[in-house]
Amino acid sequence: MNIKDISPDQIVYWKWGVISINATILFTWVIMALLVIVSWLVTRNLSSDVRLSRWQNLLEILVMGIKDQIRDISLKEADRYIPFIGTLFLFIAGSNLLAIVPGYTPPTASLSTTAGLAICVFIAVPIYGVLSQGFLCYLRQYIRPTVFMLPFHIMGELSRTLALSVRLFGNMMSGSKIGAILLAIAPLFFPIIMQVLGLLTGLIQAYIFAVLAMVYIASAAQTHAKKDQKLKPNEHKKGENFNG
Amino acid sequence: MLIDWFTVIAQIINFLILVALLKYFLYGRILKAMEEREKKIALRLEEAEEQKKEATNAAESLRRKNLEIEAKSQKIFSQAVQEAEDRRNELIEAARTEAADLKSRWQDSIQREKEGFLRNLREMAGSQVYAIARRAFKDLADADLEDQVVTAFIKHIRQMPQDESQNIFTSFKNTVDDLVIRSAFEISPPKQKELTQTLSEIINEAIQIQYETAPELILGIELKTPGRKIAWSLEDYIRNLEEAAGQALESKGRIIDEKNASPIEMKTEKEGSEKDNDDGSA
Repeated sequence: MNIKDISPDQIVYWKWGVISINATILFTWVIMALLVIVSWLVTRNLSSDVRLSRWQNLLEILVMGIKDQIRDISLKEADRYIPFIGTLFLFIAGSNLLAIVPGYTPPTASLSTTAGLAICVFIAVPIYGVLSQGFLCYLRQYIRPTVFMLPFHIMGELSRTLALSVRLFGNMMSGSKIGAILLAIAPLFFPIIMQVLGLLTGLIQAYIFAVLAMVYIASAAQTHAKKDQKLKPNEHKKGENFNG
Repeated sequence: MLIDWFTVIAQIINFLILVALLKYFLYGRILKAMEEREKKIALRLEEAEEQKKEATNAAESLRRKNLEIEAKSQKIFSQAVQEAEDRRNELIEAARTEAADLKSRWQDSIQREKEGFLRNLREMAGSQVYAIARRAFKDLADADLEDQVVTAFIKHIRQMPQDESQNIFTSFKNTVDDLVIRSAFEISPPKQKELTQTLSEIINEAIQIQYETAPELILGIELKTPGRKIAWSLEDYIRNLEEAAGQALESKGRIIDEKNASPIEMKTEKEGSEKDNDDGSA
């Protein structure tokens, strides 16, 4: 087993100069197409009445679940974070769950994908922070409680981004590889159980990635909330009760 | 190297495109639809609440109206019952009065009829009896009987008390007219002579007597002076009989009345009896 077998990036279908279409990109497109087509088909004729189609119902449950999770973590209105966090969850969960399809390699098993997603989170955190509490306020967060904490804050940002990407990559890569290895050792039944376990860990990983991203973003927007709390304690209490 | 930087950048771009696409196709639409539904449901609930309130108000007003109507109808009903009761009593009273009237009228008419019948009967019986008697006496009357009648008359005069006969004849003495003796038959000359002689004896002077015949006297004979009359006639006996028969019939009628009498009829009966008495006295 060499490095080629670990990462789907090494399976290149088409190459022109720097541009190479490998399995990671291809399957990412497949998942993107799948998600967009399903969404488009279902939301093509949405009903705002009490009666609604099963697919709409399913999507509504999904979106509402994401919304509730975000609200539980951020203690704020979730609409702003839904597109980012929801897409993270749906994309990772989709790419992980499709692992049961033979011949498919999850894009999340590539460190390039997970790194790309972690970089997105790494960039999104300051953006949401600045958006919610202003540029200076956000930057001031890095020198709290003292200026000496600045390097630790920066190290923390970087390391958690690395951890995010490596956690997902490790889990997904190992999941698919363990399946292959076990197939060599015990060809009957056991791989099936491992596949089931793989589906479970895939979903859990998607959940963990999305929740962690949300936690990072929420912590960046946290100071603003604290200031709010000082100014209007009663109102915030109300909000807390509502969210709880 | 596990990280292919081109792939990383491509994946970042892919992810951002996916975020944009899903935001448009999924979250935006679904959230909007849900929001609209929530609004609709809230609106419906509000409407339902309003309608419920309206319905409650309507029900309340309806209930109140019902109560009013019920009370009104109860009042009308009791009034009607009262009126009907009054009317009934009135009618009963009227009917009772009318019945009493009818009864008394009936009683009156019956009484009248009875009286009329009794009167007729009495008259008829009387007249029949008298007619028979008259006929019988007429048929029986012959010379001997007529003589006997005259004899009985003479005897009657002789037996009169002294002062009474004196009274009669003193009144006669004061007049210039003749004494008149009327009889139903021709008195035979010997008897005329005897009669004249008897009277002369009583008056103690000679007198002239005029003899007349009057068939209605029925075997009778009478002596008339101005103011006084001495008579013997079968007519008197018959009249006495007639009176006795009339009284007997009347008393019998009264007994029948008493048997039929009811309390209401007391008045009628009394009137009737009064009438009876009147009749009797007449």
